[in-house]
Amino acid sequence: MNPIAALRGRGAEGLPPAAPLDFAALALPRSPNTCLAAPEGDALPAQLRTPRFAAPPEALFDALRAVASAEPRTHLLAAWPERRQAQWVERSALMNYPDIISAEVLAVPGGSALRLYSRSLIGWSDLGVNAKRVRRWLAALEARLAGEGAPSPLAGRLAEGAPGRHVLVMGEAAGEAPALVLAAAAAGAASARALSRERPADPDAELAGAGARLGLETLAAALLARARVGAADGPPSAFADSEAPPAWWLRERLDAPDLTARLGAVDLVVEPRGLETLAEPARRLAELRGTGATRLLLRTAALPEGCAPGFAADTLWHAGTLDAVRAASLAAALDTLGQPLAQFAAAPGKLTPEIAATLDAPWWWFMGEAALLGLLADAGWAGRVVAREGAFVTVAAEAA
Amino acid sequence: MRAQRVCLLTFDFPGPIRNGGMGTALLALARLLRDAGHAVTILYPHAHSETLPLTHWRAHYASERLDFVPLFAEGEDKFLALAAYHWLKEQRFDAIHFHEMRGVGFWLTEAKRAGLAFRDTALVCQVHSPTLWHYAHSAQFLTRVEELETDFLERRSCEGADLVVSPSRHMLEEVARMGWRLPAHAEVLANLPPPGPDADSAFDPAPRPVGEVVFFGRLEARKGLDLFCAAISRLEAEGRAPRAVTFLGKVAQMGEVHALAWLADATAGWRLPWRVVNDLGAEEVQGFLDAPAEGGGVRLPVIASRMENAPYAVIECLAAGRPFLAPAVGGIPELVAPEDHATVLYPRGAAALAATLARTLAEGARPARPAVAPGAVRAAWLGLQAELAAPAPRAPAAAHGAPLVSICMTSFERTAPLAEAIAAVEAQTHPNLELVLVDDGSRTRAACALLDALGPRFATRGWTLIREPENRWQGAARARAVAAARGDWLLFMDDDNAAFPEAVAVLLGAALTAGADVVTCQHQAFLGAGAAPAARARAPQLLLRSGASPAVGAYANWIGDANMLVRREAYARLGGFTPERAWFEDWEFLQAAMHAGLTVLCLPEILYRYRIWPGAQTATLDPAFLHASHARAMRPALAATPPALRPALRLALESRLAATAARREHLWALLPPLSPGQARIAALPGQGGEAMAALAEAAWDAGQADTARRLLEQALRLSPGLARAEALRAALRDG
Repeated sequence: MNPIAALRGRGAEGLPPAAPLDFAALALPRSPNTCLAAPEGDALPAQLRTPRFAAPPEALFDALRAVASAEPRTHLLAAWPERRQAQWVERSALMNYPDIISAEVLAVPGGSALRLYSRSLIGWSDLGVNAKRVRRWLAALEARLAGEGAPSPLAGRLAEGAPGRHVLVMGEAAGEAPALVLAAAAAGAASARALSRERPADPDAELAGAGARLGLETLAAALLARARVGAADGPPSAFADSEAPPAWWLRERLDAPDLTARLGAVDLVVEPRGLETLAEPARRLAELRGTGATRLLLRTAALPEGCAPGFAADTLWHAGTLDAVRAASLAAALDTLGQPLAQFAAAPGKLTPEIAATLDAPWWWFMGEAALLGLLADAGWAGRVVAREGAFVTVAAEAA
Repeated sequence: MRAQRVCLLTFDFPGPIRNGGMGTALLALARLLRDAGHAVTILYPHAHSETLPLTHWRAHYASERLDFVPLFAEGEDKFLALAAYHWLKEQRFDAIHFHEMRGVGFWLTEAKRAGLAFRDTALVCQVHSPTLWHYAHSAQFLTRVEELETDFLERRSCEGADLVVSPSRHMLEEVARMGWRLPAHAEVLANLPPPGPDADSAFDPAPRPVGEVVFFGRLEARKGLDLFCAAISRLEAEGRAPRAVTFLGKVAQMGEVHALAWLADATAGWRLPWRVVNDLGAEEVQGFLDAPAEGGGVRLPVIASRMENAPYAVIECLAAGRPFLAPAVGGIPELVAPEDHATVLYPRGAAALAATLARTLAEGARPARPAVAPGAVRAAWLGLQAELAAPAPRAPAAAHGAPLVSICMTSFERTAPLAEAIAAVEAQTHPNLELVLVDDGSRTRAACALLDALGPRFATRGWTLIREPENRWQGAARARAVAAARGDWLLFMDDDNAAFPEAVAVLLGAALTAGADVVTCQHQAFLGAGAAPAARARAPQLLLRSGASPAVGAYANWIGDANMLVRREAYARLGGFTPERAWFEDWEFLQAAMHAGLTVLCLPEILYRYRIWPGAQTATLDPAFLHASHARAMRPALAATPPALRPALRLALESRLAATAARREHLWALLPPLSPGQARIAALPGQGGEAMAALAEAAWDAGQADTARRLLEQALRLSPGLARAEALRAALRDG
């Protein structure tokens, strides 16, 4: 490579011809100017881990290319769809430095996985640019997948259930909330808002971003014009404020005793965060009922009956009660369902709060469908499973 | 026997709570009633679990046909009790058992008094461990008003129950000594032993060698941790120590430190090995005690308490035929067969315990028999439950008719909120009411226009509108309204609140059912000048009033506010509200009512929306105003106190207020902060020249040159040659 030509060129100009990357044989240079992200369990010397995606490999590959095309100063060098691999160059704004990004999508049981490698062609140190880029691409990818109908049955169901209804999307799964709010609005909801105890730093920008990703810019702009959150996020009020301006993303405690007075009309509540990672799923379901909504859409883990020895439809196992045998059988079952969990390696038997503190969103609950419907019934919801993908189900429920 | 629906309402239950004696007794009761064919629900209002999540425990108990219902409520105990009330009033139980501890059943008994709920439900209060009784025997001082309130909730829930059950005669006598007014039906019924055969059938009185001594109970003062350690230290000094000691129980507080820290010193001279086991559940504890000690011999549980009601630790040992030692205090002797007292009981204190332990270590430990056989206890509980199934015929709900209620509303410079308050009165369901609106001297055009418009509307309804020429504040304005009112019941309302439609009917119904003179309720607060929220809160957000406790009322107004229903005769007897221009006329009135022997009732229901105006109150605030307001609020309690003790009460009340003011908390947080100039002067000694010079500077800054000169002269008289003052004087001269 001629460095001068590489620096002067635009897009692919001045760069050596692109060739598929053999990730399995990849050896990272000693210089701190690369970042490799790979799935958990991959033998590569990765600095970052990529999540497991529920989307089929082709959908992930398309989404990845769409994310790349939205990146500034980024040009596709080559794509090898048969290998689900592609390469891009991104040039820096000031110096026109070229960085090469290579990606490969893998098929795994129940979904897909991703290897993403970003490296600088010029300079010994990249000052963290490659790592930052990889994180940004991954975040954009996850947000895009959350917002697209295909990998999110919740969004599809929402489009059916939202028309004419006041929709409230629970915002703890922050990346998904703006897309779901827009999906509800696009379907003709009477109102569409998000709710969480803490709001993200700039929810309005997230809504605008989701609008751009989904081709719903006009809708997002209209929603922001009506109910922009704005920058001011003072301490939460102890009481309902009769003069509060409308905001599309509300910041409230679900257990506030006057929650319904604060929320106003809510017909349909949407919970994209699963119950499996919560300490008290029964409490969460009761709190969702406390919003005043008469309908609920929920996506959560519910394992198929018989997926592990002794696992029945009404099974409700807490991770703190598992023994080694049961944990091993669950680990195998979840692998088969395309949802391998790192926690079984960290806690081969019962999961303790101390071990859980070292894990990213560990699963506390392993339940069958009947157990899930029982929890819903306890909280005042009559539910039914309307879709299953791998370890997850989508539930539609009505106030009992 | 008729199968009943029975609820056990508790803060303590095995599973979420590791090994509380009260919870263990309730679990035994739940199983007994279930096995007898009753449908049993355990209502656990808390969100707290010491172990696995409550979601797990619900499933766990469902597998043994017990309906364990967690409500996941958080906050002060009275809020948890309120959550329990709201859940229970929507159910139909034949009987609800609850413990007095922390007032978990308080709102049930209050609601029943007022006729709001539970007319056909027997409320059974089990007395286990009143908070003030526990404090008295734990060397623990009262430090917070909330503790007084807990005492009030406990005694009130006991007094309002249909039946009180105590596991010992001792505790019934204790609470009577503490001034509790027990209901007519109060009886002693031993705690249920754990399931199993009667100990009599396998009772083996033979002595057993002791391999290990086990302190059995929470590691705290009331359980006698210090007495036990002192006894072991004695035995060590005498060369008669046991082979090993285990402390078996939760780590609690010993004075200013927790028990582990306390043990570090208390056991410093011991040569025998000892350990702490604090993580076992109720059933694991039994297994631990029944296992042989290391090196052989039995583990000997020792109860060392200063005071006890009917400890489950003793009941379990008796039921298991397991040797133990316990002090002859409180209700313990009632648990043990009299012929076995000498075997297992000892007089309270370290010396007696040491002597008894020495004898037991030498001669071997022997078990004792229970005073009442487990089978008889079970039969007694089932008999009691059967009697609850056929409650005494109750009088039908009294037909009270619809007496006239006069709503007395005073207003000052209000427009939209007043219109909303009046609309809420118009929407009341009670058929016989009048509104007497006294405008307290409004002058603004908008307020006067609204009043002008109201005239014809009031005339149509036969309501009264009075317009005062001068603003005379609440006391005088309300007196004017009462003078014009025709009803025997007066309901005071603020002009910026909004009552829910059933407010008058519920308040009046409660007053008539309970024979109350004054009835208050909860409110739903909201902020700002907009419309009151239509949706109802399920509980008050911050302030939950508990009602007529004179002790609590002296410190805080958790009785009610001006939006209260008052029997007209009671109002007249008290002379109405005092007219001074300060706050807390309602607090003063409500306390005066209690001290006058009137019946004051506070309902658990939210009956109106209460508007909060952000920042609006600060305009009238200054320290003198706050002092005057609190002085007014203190008057009833001081008047009810013997003159010789009034200064002592003043000290108690005012030192707390002074501390609050010094921390700038509560209403003092609303006072404007010191200006920078004030802060500078305040930092200097008030009698010195420097402060005077600083004041002169402030006068100069305010454009008062003449005053500044005079103040400087005084500063230099106080501190001749003070450089700052000299420089300022020179500047003034030149300027």
